[in-house]
Amino acid sequence: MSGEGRLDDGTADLALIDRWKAGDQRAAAELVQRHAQALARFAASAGEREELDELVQDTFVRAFNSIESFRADSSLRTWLFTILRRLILDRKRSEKRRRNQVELDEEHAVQPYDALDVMVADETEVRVRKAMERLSPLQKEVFVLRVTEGMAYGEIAKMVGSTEGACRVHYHNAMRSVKEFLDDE
Amino acid sequence: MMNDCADGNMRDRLPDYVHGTLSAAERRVVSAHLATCADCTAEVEVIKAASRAFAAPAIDTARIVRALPRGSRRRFAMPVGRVQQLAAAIGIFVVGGLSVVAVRELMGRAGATSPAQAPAPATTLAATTPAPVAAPVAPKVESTANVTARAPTPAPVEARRPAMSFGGGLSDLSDEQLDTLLGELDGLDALPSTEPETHLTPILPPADGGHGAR
Repeated sequence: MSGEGRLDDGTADLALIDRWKAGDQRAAAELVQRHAQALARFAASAGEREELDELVQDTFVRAFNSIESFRADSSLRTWLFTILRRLILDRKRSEKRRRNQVELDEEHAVQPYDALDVMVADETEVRVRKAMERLSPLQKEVFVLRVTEGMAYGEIAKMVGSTEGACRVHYHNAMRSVKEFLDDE
Repeated sequence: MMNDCADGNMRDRLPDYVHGTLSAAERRVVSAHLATCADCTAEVEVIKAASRAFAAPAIDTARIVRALPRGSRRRFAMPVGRVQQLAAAIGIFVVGGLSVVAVRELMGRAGATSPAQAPAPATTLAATTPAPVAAPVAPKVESTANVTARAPTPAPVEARRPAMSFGGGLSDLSDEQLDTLLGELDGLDALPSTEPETHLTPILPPADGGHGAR
């Protein structure tokens, strides 16, 4: 696996951060342009369908307010995804408390498939998405980050608080489960 | 029926192949494998479908940018530690500069007084030179006597001489300074010598013109 492209992206992100620190607000706009769509896609894959703009905006505001704590031992994108993931988990917990529902273990909570979702157009994509809804949240997270964002196992591991080897196993189990679901249909 | 390819490392590369993040060499290897492996080709199609499954919703990026803090604030917000370091550097520079000025002033004063002692060997040399002293010429004796008479009143060297700077030679002195220095040297010739005074005693001719001595 090559990380050359991501390495270049990481270098470009660091240069943009330096420019923003020096007062160049266009660098901030460029950083948002580079990562906002991927963050929104990940939030959507995690079942967030309302106020995605606010969620992504909160992610960037928190990141820029604490940019001094960004150590660049992982990519900026991974760091942004980590912040977004925490926001999503906080939001889910708040919703559960509000609904006065029984707190479920987030590792085993399965997102229901939304048949009315209009973002999926292709029949194959509908089937794949349906298959992905059957995965455990952690399996789905790893699978989405690997196939939709092209993240390396090491980056995914940092983000979800696991090991590289465990993430590799989660990915291959998820892929097998998806293929089995597609075969059965 | 989709099966898993036995080459796990190859399967690990498939998402990077789809995202175009492989090197050219790695991409050629994967492409060659896909040409012969139906399982990996089917898996690539699953990855492509999955990556399209969650289309990125439209995001108002301009609104996000407006909500961000401005980086220029940080440019002028210097951490407390930096301020202390800067103040210390300025303090060291000022104290160091004043020290250099003070040392140069002191050395200048020392340089102004030392020449009064430095020419002493010249004085001794002049006093012990036998030839002119032995010359039985009366005017010379008077001259020596005059010099001796001037000895108790040496010239006030510190009062007339400006402080000398470091590194300057005689060529750096003005005519006025050179005259001052020569005058000091003349005056220093009359300083008391450590040599026996007898060497300076002139041999005067006898009153009868020296004939009786022979």
